[in-house]
Parts: sequence; structure tokens; C-alpha cells
Amino acid sequence: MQSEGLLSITPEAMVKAILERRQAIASKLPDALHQRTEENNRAYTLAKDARETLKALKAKEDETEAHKEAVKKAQNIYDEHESFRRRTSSRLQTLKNSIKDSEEAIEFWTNMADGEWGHLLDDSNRLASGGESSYAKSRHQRSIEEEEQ
Amino acid sequence: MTRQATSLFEDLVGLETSKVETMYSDALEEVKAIDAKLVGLQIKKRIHSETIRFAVNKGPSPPREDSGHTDELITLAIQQKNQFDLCLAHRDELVQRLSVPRHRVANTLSEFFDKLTTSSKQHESPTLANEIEMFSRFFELQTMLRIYHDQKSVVSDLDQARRTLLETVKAVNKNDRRYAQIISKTRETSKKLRKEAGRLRAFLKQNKIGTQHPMPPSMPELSERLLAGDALSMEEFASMLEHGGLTELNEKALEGKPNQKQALGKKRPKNRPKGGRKASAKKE
Repeated sequence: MQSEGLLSITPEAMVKAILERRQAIASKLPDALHQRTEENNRAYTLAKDARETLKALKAKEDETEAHKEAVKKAQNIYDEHESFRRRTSSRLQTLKNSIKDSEEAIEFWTNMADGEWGHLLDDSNRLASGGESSYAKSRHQRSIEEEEQ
Repeated sequence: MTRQATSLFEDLVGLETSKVETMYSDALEEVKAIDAKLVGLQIKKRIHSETIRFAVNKGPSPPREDSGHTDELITLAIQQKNQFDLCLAHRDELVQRLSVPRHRVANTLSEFFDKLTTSSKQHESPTLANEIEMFSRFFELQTMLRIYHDQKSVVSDLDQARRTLLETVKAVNKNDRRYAQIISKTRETSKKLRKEAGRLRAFLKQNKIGTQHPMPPSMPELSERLLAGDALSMEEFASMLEHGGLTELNEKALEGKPNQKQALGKKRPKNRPKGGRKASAKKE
């Protein structure tokens, strides 16, 4: 969008746009959660099976090369499945966090839509009334701290 | 050494002393007038140079007001410099207050708008904390952009003031160089006039003495001796130094040694130490 158009955007319009984006994302989250949960369950089953196979092989008292080879192979499969399980678990957790964040965000911006954004416009209002921008303030603060050091 | 003593005053020989005295006083008047002109020109040149230095921030203050020597261009340049400083102060105040350049404000505003309103695969969806921060920044940047729009004249005025001042400084610089040339030419004229006045004065001085001791005729045989490499006596040499020739040779010879020393001392260059010539002669 061109700067002329950006100048005409009001806080109400911005809150509305944020809410629309949030709701659009939130509508896709249940499907994503379902997919991630399935994926995680599958990974968990695979890892569990691989661990039990490995455990069973290790329990056998067999010193033959064939047995050692089988244990090594089972170990590799287990490592692979365990790694996959951790990845899916992480992805699932991220998605759950996103859902939580999304719910909080929708709640927050819904409240904002009622006109409670005043505190978010403090910097803008200070600047409009002839004060310094937050960038200028933090720059001054930095220089004061450097002088003190 | 080839110059003849009589040739220096060739045009004056035969003129009445009163006529030469009038010529001398006229020459002095001219020298005085040229010197006064030179002083005026130098003051003007100094004012021009100081104005240029002030205009390009090399000098702390404008030249002192001198109604006799300050022309309109100088006054204009000083006014324009003050105007430029004022515009610069306004611009600096604005920049210091906002602290973000205009193009960056516009770019960041657009970037924040995209991140807040569109879900794209190009950027990760912001968290609620990021959204709150960006929302606040967006409207601060929007106010900044509005201020830049309102204060557009601050930048354009500064550009205009800079251009105008630059043109005027160019003109002042041109005048400054012109004054330097005029001063150089006037100095040459002054030098010539001084030389002429000196020549007239020397003639008059000589003529006064000449009433009692008339100027001796030229002695071409002495020049021939010199050209042939023969030695001169101290009296002859002192006389040559004083007159550029061999005038008063007979009188000097009669006056004795103190006068010879005086004549030698007058012509010795100031910077050359005594005996300096001898030292170089030894080396040779």
C-alpha cells in the first residue's frame, strides 16, 4: 500500500483488519491440530514399537555377528523414529501454543475493537502534540547511559 | 653595470627645478591617492573573504559592518547565510525529534501494515506481543509521516536557501578574485609611481647639491675599465652604489672615509649578514 493510503488508516480499521486475519488463521487451526495430532500419534507408535524391538533384541544373550548386526539395525531404526517423534511433538506443541495465542489475541483485539486502544497510541499522541518519538527517546537514553559508563 | 648614471635623469636634465618639484609633488599626490585606493580595496577584499568564510562555516561570525565598504552583495550573502542557518536549525530540530528518516518511516509503515493485516508464507505470523508492539509503532510512524508531509517546506526551504546562498557565495567569490587582481594591478601602479617619485626626489636632491657641486660628466672610460675587469677604488665603488654611476666621484674622494662607510651601509641588503659575501667568496 502507498504511504498516502497508509495515512488514512484508523485504529478501528487496523483492529478490524487484525481480527479478520486472526480469525482466518484460527479457522484453519483445528484441521492443522488434527493433522499434527495424527502425525504425532503415528510417530509415537513407531518410536514405541522400535524401542520394544530394540529392547527385546538386547535382552537376548547371543554373541553372533548376525545378532549384533540386527541390534545395530534396530538401534538405527529406533533413533530415526524417536527423532521423528520429537519433531512431531514439537510441531504439535507449537501449534497448541499458536492456538492459545490466537485465542488470547482474538480476545484482546475484540476488546480493542470496543475502543480500548488508547494506551497503544501514547507514543503517537505524544509525537502529535510536539514531543519526541519513541525512537528519539530511546536514542537519548542510550547516549545518556553511554556517557554514564 | 651597463646603465649610465646620466640616463636615469635624461628626461629631467635641462628642466627647471620648480618644474621638477611640481612633477615630484604631483607624483606624491598620486601615490597618496593610489595608497588610499589600495587600502579601500584591501578592506573590501577582506570583507569579501570573511563573508565567504562565514558562508561556508569556516568563520564563526560575519565581517564587521562597514557601511563604506560593504556592498549589497555582501549584505545579501550574510542575510542568506542567516536564513540558511535558520532553515538548517529547523530541519535539525525536526530530525532530532523524529529520529527516523522519511523513507524509512514509509517503508516500515508499509511493512508493519502487511504483517498485521495479511497472513503470508513470506513472513511468520506475529505473536500477540509483536502485534501490540507493531500496532503502537504503526500509528507512531503514521504520525511521523504526517509530520513529514506537514513539514515538507522545512526540507524544501532548506534546499532553496542552500541553492540561493551558493549562488550568492559564487558571486562574492568572483568579486573577491576580481579585487585580488585589481589590488595586484594597483600595487604595480603604486610601485611604478613610488619609483618615479623616488627618481624625482633623487634628482632634486642631486640638483640641490648640484648648485654647489654640479653633476660630473659621464666617465665612459671607467665603464670600459669595469667591463675589462679592472679594479675600482673604494671611492669609485661607493659612488656607484649611491648613484648607479660615477656621479660625485670627485666630491666623495675629497670627503674622506666616514662618508664611504655610510654609503656602503645604506646599500647593504637587510637580510644578508655582515661578511656573508666573503664567506661565499671563500667557497668559490
